Amino acid sequence: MTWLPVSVLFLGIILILVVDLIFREKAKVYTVILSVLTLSFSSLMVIQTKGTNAGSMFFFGDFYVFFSIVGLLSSIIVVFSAWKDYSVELDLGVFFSLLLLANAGGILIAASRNFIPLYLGYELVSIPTYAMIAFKKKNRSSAESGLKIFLLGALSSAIIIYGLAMYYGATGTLQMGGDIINHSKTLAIAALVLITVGSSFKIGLVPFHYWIADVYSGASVSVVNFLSASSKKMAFAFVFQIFFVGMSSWHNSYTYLFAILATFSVIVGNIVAVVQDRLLRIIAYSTIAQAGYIVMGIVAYGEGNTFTKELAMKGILFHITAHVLMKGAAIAAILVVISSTKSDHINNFRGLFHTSPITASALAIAFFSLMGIPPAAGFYGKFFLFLSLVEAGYEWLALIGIIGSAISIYYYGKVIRIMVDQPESKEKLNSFTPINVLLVVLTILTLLFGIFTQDLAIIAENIVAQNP
Amino acid sequence: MELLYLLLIPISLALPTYLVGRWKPEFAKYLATLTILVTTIYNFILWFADFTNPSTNYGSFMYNYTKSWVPSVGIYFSVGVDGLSMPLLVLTQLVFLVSVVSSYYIKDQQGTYYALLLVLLTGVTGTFIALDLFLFYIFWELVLVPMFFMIHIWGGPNRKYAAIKFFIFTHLASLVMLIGLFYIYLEAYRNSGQMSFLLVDLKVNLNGVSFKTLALIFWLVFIGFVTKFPQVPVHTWLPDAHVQAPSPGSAILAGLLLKMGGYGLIRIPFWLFADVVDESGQHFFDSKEGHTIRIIIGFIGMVSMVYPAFIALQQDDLKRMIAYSSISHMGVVLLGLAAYNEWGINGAMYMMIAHGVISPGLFLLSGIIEHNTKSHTRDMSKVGGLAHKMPFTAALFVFMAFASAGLPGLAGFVSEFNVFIGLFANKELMASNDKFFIFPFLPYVIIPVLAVLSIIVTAGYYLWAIQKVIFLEQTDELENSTPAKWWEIQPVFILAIFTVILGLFPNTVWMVLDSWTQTILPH
Amino acid sequence: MVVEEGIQVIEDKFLINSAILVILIPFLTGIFLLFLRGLEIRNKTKFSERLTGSIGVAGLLGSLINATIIIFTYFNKYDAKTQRVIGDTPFVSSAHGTFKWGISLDPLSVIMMFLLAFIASVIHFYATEYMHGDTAYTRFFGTLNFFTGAMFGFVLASNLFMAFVFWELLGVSSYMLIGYYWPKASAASAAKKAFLYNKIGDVSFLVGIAYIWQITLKAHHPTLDYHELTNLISNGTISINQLWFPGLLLFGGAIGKSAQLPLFGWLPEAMEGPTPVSALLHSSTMVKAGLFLLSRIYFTFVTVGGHYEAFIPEGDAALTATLITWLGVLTALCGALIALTATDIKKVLAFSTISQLGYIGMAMGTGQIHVGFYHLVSHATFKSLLFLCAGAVIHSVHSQEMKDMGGLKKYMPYTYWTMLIGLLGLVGFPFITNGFYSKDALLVAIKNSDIPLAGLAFTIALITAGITAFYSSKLFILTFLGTPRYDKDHVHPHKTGIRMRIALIILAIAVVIESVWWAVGSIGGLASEKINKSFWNFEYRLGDLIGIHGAPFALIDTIPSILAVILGISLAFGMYFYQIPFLISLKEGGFIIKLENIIANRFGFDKLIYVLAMGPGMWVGSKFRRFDEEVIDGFIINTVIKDGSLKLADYSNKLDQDGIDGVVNGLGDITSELGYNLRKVQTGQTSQYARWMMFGLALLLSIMTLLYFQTFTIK
Repeated sequence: MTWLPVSVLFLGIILILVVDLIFREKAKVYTVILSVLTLSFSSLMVIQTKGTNAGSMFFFGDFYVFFSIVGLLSSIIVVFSAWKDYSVELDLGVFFSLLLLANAGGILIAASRNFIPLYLGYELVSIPTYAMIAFKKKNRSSAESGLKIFLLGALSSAIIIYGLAMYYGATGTLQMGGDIINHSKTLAIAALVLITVGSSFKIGLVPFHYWIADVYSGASVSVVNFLSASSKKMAFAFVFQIFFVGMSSWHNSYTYLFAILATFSVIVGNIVAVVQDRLLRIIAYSTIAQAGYIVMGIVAYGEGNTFTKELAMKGILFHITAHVLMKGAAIAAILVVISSTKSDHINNFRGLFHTSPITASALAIAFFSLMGIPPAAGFYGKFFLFLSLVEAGYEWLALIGIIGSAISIYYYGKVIRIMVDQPESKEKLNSFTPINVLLVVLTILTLLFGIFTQDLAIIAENIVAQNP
Repeated sequence: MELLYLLLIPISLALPTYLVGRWKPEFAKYLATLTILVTTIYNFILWFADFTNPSTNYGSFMYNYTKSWVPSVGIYFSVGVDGLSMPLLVLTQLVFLVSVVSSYYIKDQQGTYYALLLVLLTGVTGTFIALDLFLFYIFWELVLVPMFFMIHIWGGPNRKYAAIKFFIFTHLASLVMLIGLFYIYLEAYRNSGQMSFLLVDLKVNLNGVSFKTLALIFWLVFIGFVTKFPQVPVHTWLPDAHVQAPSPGSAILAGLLLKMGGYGLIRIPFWLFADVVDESGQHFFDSKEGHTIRIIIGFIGMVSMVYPAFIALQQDDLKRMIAYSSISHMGVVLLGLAAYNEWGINGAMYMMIAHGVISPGLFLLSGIIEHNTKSHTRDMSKVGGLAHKMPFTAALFVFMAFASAGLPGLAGFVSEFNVFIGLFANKELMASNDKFFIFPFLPYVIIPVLAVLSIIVTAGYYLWAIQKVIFLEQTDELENSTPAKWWEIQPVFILAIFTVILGLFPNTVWMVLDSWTQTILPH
Repeated sequence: MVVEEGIQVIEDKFLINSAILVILIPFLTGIFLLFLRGLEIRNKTKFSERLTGSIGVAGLLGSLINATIIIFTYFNKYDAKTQRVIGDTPFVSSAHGTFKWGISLDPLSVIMMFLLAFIASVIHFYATEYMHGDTAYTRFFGTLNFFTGAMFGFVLASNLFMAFVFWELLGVSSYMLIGYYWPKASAASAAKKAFLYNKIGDVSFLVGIAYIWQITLKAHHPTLDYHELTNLISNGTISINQLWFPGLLLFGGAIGKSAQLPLFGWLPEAMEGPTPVSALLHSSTMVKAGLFLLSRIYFTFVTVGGHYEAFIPEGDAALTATLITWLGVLTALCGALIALTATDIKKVLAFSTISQLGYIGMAMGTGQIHVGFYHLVSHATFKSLLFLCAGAVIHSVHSQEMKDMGGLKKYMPYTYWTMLIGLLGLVGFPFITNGFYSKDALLVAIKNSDIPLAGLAFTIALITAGITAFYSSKLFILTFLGTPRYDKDHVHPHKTGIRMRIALIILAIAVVIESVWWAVGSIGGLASEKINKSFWNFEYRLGDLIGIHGAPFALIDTIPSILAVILGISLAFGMYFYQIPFLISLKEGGFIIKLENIIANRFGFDKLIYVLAMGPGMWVGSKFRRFDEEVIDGFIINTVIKDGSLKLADYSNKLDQDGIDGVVNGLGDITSELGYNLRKVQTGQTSQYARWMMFGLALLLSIMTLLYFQTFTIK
């Protein structure tokens, strides 16, 4: 009963591979449908399994539900964009099965209360990701990125493992939420820093962010979408699990670390994005900055009382949800342009409002959302993150967030401004109905995000209540 | 429910307008006009139904509609109007009505234009009626987007720079303000244990918060509002934005977006802190902290009144001059608030309304001039003798210029007069006027006196402009010009009528404002 | 007005409504005419002058009729000494103080209103012919009516607020009238100048009002009503020592409007407007407004004792009165001197107006409000007549320069006679003119006053009277007598038109009536106490009504002024008519010419104002503009923030990519030598990324170890 969501995913993987084998060239549509069905069904199962008792190693609470579903549903976005992304069309079956596999890892992360399954889940997410990045077999940059991220990922995994060992040394247990035993402060510090560095790599915080720009501009767009929309969320789930649950009693130490990391990420991410002239690189650096914002939530969470924790958690959940929607929409829109013009250079977006209003509007609204302009989704996350920071006494960090936000207007605005300019040619872009539908749905969800806020807020409160 | 229509009608018709515009551009124009006409009429009906009874206490909210939105943090969807917001709400509809009609010259991407106009209308309306800080902030920021596009797509030659400058300036300031709003919420929560973004709750819950904290909050929100407002030294986005925006955009910018800043400043610190008293029963703005605040904002107001007036004297571009005059007039609002008595605050609020009908008129007129000159210029050195070719435009320009310079019988005078009376009648000056000659440089003395003197400069630049543009012999720039078309001139005419009505019968609005002001002043 | 107790405020709906009509009829007709002008422009037609002119005149006649009704009803029905008809309605009402529209009918306002209605009606009538053929005939009457309406409002106002409103409206409508010929650069700038000069005064006025409000607010009785203010003073709630400063500020307003030193520069240039405008401007509107204001707020600078004794208070408060008086004296002298040098017939009259206004101001300053008002009435009558005559002359010879005139007597007999009557009034020709008596009262007032250096002031005033006589005679001689100097081929002086003639005659009759009235009152007053105390003695009666008395008329007092006048006239005749060589040589002396130059430059006051206000204003403007564009916007925002951010972004980007790459490539060579040959698979950066990662790790580890070791909590 408990592992039904994961079982569903594995069943889906088998079916997809079989279908892919049988139908070969025509399998594309079927695999898409199968993936979507699997992901949706798995989400349903996640809701079903909420609250089931599974001993001390796992806990199926709201955190599990939220992050599993975010991972699963954001994968649907990836499925849609992969459908459009011709670079993977030949091996769509394999691609989707890797995607589902990663999701299984995500669910494992979200449910763990012990570092062993947590780490397993983490690797289960990472390894398919490496494979997917290297998926454009004929493309050298893709392969290069794949190798790069594999090597560095291995390094970061090693660091985390090492950190976990230290953790064990400091607490004498691999169960989350352990207290530090006497005379092991040094070990605790080592554990903390090592785990922080390892996970910072995964979520792309400065100065561990170098891979992001390369991979985002090197890998195929649907993989980028997966990285930013889906895998990133699982990585965050991993980080939250470690720090909110695993090191919940250490909080007054890691807040400093994350405050520093958040500062660097927001400033560097936003500033470097200003001079980029390729959309995917802009997205990459903005992802770094957005990760910085979410990490601000960790800072506030670590610092505060229940009220602050709840605010921070709300901010985190809102921002993560919004991030899925807006980044998903933005990357899907970029995908549309790339598939027509073969490049994500900013000049290819000139006059997009005139040639393809839906794509352009979706991209513009996604960008407004990323800037944090209400009523788009991104605003809610930022609002609560900054609110929790002020409540936690980190006004200066909120100010840094504000400055970053102001800088971000410049580069997002630059793209929007180019899109509304008159186009050089009136040539229409290739339109692809499923992608357009996806864009419209994501845009509407972005704009109507306010409707879901109360539900998400309750989830956030539950998570805080359920964390030790 | 009543107010919801004002939000729902425009926003729900924005997308249809865009789609209609793609199909038949002309129809978008009519659809938008019709929509705004409906909201305007509806708003006027509301005004006449409930805001004409002198005995009503306009300090409380009417047409209140509150629905829980995010109860777990105390966010509500709450709208309502009181004596402060209702006049501004009516003004909003009016300015939008004239702006939409005078937009008829726009031929490029009409659907998008009118759809954005409707979104903008929703944003501005929402800002004035939101009774929840969260909701307020949403509408406040929502306004930026359509305005950004309006400047960027339909603006003048340097529009791109102006648009992004406008966006970044005001957004950055809004975020600083947001921190202030957080403080309000958190302090109220710490103080009372009640989580609520509702203004009415916050007003009660803030009672007991230390004055030091309130001063901090004041400065945070002040930065946000004053940038929108805008006052020296954060004013430089305004001339650029005004000059580059299409003239209906300038009209909305000057008529309403500036007023949002003023509204926020009055609503959030002045109204919200009104009931906060310390142990000795002293009100915040009468305390030591409040005193410092008032001197500083008075000083900023004075500088913002004098400094741009002198700059306006040196401008050649008509719109730029009017833009600087707008800054100057907004300084009056700040001065009125610094006076902190009924004349000052009423005058400040009235100034927002008066400036809201006068400055759009001037911007639209300069737009007419621009559209009718040979090389589409507004440079005063090139355009001359306008009265020969376009007598009505010229007459209206003279009228509006005098209205802006504070001619009695027109709207601007009522507010200016009251603000100055208020400044001289403020408690600090009254306490110190025996020492007038001993300390002539006391802020209470120097601020009002310098501010009053700037009236001469104001008259000066307007007269200069009139002489150059309207009078004298006709220049060849105007060779091909024809008298303005009905949709160019009628909107200004409507504004002129309102200028006269507001100037001759101010009491209809004034009693609402005064009734409201009495609720925030200590007695 | 009176500081005495027992003033009765009466509500009389009928009178108040009539008074409102007096104000509204010219306003509405004015606006209606402007509307007609709009129609004219739109339809490119022109309504007949008969129609629009009639509407214009009818507006004023309406006022005149109402004014007549009011003046008779008021003086017959009520005891003007103790009863005032006051009616008001709120304009902007706040909870603790209201600004009101208010009408106050008291002796001063009623007389002034009637005078104004009368003179303005005549001038309007005159203008119907004078403006004949003008393209914007309708606009002229529209603005003129509006202007007159504004003055009515000012005169009838019962409080300072309403007075200020109409004061400003006067300013703006005079702007329209002076700039009537707006395509002409000189007219446009004259209008602007007039408005700006007035605005300086207005600001002072505004601050004065604000101070009065402050003071009364402090006394818990906020008010701007004249009669309430006098009540407050009389019952001791506020004292004059509080009011002297606002009084001074209000006088500042009067300086601008009434063209006192140093703000008189606009008045001569206001001649750019059509002549009827000048006539109206100089006689009973606009310039008289300031003086009328002084007569309404005299309680701020003089104390009126229990029994009709106006005296200047002690201490600070005396300063205001002294300032008003002395400015008046100096204005009178300067105006007269400049009038001496002026060659333009209208300019002579304009400067003579300034001089006469100075006289009136002087009398008001000494506290003898009724005397000032007395001369104000005389002056309004004869000055309007003079301007209309001058207009007729100009109309006839098409030039304003006196050198182009001469010998017009035989062509324009009516004008000749009427102008003679007017000029006699202006000169104050002994015993037979209104000007004589009122000026005499002025001189007596200054002589008896306790103003510092009153004797000197009196002497100056006397000299001024002589100069006035001189330039008036000069004007008369150069215009009507002697040989014609105009260009005979092109100019054919013709008789004045019938309507203009009627207007001149009516005004001349008015001057004569006044002369007789004043004469009977003054001379007869000497003979019989009964006449002295009757309404025949205008000065006495007026003083009685408003509670101030000056010295009674005495023949002995008139001697100096008679001498001065006769001297002035004879000198002028000797110099210009008989052209006695000795006198001409006197005129052409080097010193005199130098002096003339200085005087013709208006003593440099205009320049001074420019240097003090305009120049620095523009200079400050240009500096501020540069500061705004180059420092605030240019340097701070564009250079530091915008360009700075972009540079920073560029630099960070380099560091993030090239910089690292650079380092990497350098180090990469070493790594390849070391055998970690990752570069073979083109992943050269990877090892460096790893290196940075480890670096970051080490850094964080050290930070934590060094700084936050203590922060760990151990349960």
